[in-house]
Amino acid sequence: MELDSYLEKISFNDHQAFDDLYNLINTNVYSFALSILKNHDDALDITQETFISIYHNAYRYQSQGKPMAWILTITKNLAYMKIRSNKKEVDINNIEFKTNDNYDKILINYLLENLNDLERQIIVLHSLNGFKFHEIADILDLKLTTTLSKYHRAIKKLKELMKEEQ
Amino acid sequence: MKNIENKINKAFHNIDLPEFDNKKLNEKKGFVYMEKKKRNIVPYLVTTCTLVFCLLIGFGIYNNNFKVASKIGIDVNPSIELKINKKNKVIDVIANNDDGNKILSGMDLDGSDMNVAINALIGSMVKNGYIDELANSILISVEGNSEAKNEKLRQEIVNQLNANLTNNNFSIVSQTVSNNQSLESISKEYNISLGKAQLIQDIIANNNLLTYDDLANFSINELNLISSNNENIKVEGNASDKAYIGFDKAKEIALKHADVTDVTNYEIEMDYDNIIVYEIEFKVDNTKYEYDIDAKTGDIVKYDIDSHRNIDTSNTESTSNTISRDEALDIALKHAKANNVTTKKIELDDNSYEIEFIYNNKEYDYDISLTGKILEYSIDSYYYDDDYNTSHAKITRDDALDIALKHAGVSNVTNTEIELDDNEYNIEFRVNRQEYEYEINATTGKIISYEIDN
Repeated sequence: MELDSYLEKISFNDHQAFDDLYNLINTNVYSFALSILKNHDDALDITQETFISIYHNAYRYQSQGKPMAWILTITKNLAYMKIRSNKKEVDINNIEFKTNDNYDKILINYLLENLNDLERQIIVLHSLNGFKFHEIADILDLKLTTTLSKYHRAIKKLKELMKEEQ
Repeated sequence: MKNIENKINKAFHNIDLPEFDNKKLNEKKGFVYMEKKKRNIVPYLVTTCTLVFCLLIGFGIYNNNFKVASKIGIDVNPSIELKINKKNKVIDVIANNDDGNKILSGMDLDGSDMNVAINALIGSMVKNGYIDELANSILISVEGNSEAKNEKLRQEIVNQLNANLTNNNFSIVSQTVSNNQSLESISKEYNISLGKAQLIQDIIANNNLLTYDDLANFSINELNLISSNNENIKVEGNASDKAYIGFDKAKEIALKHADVTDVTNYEIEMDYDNIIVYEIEFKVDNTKYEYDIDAKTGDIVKYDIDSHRNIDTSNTESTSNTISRDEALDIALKHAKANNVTTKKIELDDNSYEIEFIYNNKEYDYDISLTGKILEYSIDSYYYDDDYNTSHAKITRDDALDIALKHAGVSNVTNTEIELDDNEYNIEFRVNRQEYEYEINATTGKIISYEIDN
């Protein structure tokens, strides 16, 4: 089922569709929130708030074939409001992993510690959501060229860091 | 490059996220709790009845005459705030911007009736050319402690304005404002009135792709134009779109470009995407068209044509008649009437070729079956920076692949993927179980980096 039809069902208060949507994309929302906030607890809060907002505002969504962009822009706006109210430190130790994979933990720690904010957001949008670069540019209010060059810089940084690790 | 992204994807999916707490859905949202202003209660400190009595009378006089009961914001482009007391008399007038200062200069409104003051201000704005037939929108925002009183005041002001402005074609946008921290911080950050901040907030709530950065510099008329269909915003009269080409003209331009004679079902509205545009959507057969047309010049700034995959044809496909990567690209290029393209990607995936290329500042996406059928395509035009687009690629995709294959010492490869980004080819292919990844400079053909994974 496409995201569009989930949103349409949710706009008619379909709880099942809402639960399904949550299970389908909560990682996408959480990862983008984390890429902005750099803090697990805050990112969880914003994930919850994003879904609450989806639930209450699904009827406002006008299909433009970009449901994920619509959802993540809600996440972005909520996250920025949160940043304004409190700044917290990066804390990787609060994040719980399903399997005890050290590599995953290190990789996410690198993302949070070693990339700058925009680099991290671009990487997350590209690798988790498969957005095209011009779509990422739209979501983050960046020029396409900026998005591309930041993306490449970030990938290079990550590769080098992970090489050192191996 | 895909490699590390897959790892990131996997790492995030390995994070254990809690179930959604369904109780949260029932919490009331969008409800702003207003804290009552604390008042000093004096009795314990006061020793004599007389003093209490005097204070109470004094307090009453103060409350009725000097205490700000409501604030009324008037925004056109000049932004002015009136502070009024319980009797609707003006206590103070503040200009929020330079245009507001121009309007206020030489005007003394203190002590005058609220409606008289509003009329004088709007009259002066018309006289000074801030309100005319190209931009006829006025925003009235009422702020105070009681929502019921705010609403009553709002109606009174709007009725009065309507009665006074009958000869002019105005559009009055009005709202009550609940002051809260986030609104206040936005108003400070962008140096706009609280009322304008709330109007923008309502517009963004309806269209999450917009931002405060986009809209803060908009005039009220422009905001009024793009806020159509927003139930939170009360509007009397129509915003003037005389500065723009108009809905009919915009539709005509889009249909002509799409080579479609007429559509019965279409949607059109004004929107903002770096500039004010008419956004038009329509569907013909299986193809969806989306256009953004510059509302001032009529130029097509962006369009998206999306044809959806026909499932029947992809299922009955025979695998005997397979075409090559280059043949698939040819089919796509022929369909796009394109030559000399910057190929970004050709990927063999699930029995179809996924092809992406840039031609004439547009991004084309094709999905082509192994028998050569176009299963799905989309054309997306967007703002594309010329300095990036004039690619410096001197060597071709095939050359780049050759370089990589030669370096790897292999010839028979499967699952090749070639992307051109930022003047670099990123090439991925597999031989048996090994995955190769190359980055090759598109001007020099030099191998920038490579990785071989088991």
